[in-house]
Amino acid sequence: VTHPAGGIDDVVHHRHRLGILTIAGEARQVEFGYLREALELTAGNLNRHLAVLEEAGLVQTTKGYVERRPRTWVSITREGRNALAAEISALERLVQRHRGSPASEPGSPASEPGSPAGEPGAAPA
Amino acid sequence: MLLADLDHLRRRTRSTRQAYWFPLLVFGLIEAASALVADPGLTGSPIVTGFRAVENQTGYHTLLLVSIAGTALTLWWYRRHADRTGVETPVRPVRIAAVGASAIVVLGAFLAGLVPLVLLYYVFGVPGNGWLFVVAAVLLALAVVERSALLWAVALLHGVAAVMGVTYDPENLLFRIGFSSEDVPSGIVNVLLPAGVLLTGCAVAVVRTRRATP
Repeated sequence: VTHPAGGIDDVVHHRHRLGILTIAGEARQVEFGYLREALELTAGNLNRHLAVLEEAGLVQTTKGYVERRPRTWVSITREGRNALAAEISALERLVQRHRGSPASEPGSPASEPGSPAGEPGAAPA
Repeated sequence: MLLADLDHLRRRTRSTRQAYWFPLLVFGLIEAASALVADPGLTGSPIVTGFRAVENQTGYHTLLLVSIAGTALTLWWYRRHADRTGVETPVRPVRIAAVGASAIVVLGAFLAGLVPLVLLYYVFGVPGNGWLFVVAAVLLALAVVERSALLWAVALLHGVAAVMGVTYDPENLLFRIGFSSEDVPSGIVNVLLPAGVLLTGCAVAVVRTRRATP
């Protein structure tokens, strides 16, 4: 029996890195400033996450200029798209598994309000 | 919760990235303006009015070039939008569609002059509206990369109107529903129908963009 969280990749699974891949997957490339604002990150934090993703071959960064201002553009690689799709599938499977478990069925003690399983955020995704 | 957040991020990025109201406006205006070429009575010029005949396709080739220029303007617009918003749309399929459709139309027009095939002659020769195929192809490619249900609907409706304008005089359709064909020259109907679809789509897109902007 495989572990329920077996399909989750630690590099991708981090909330902000998943956000970067999701945004980059929606465009040909996104600008550093847009990512920083959308994910509410500091420049240093975003740089660190980008470095992890770039080292794993999931994104590429290129530098350019717009009206003499330096810009950094981030694009997702084919591996990045595959990793993102695999991660989303794993999360959805996990949610399905959680919803199908007896503890999450209506009327069961664990699903009552106030119980750990019934609390918001108890689900893994 | 995380999946919902990701979905929100995806929608927000898509909304920021989408900018298709501009190409709808550009091609809508080009098609509306081409009515001047389509109707001899509106310009009175013997040069531009001859485009519907095989022997003189000046207007036809001009409109083909104008539609390619419209595509170039669209590509410039997306580059500018990316620089302003920080999110770039992948427009390579649009470029490929424009080049491919233009090649087909030019080749078709060339073959129509050589081979007396009824279909080729009719589609690329007599009505001279083959350039509408280029616009239709560009808009369908744009619908693919923009991932917009509205643009898909507009591009498909426009495609139907364009095919009708090229292969079948829509004035027949108007006549059947009660309009006199003498009131509206067929050349104008052929281009105003797809132009109307694009300009209406543009208006809806502008309203939606304004509502989405906080």
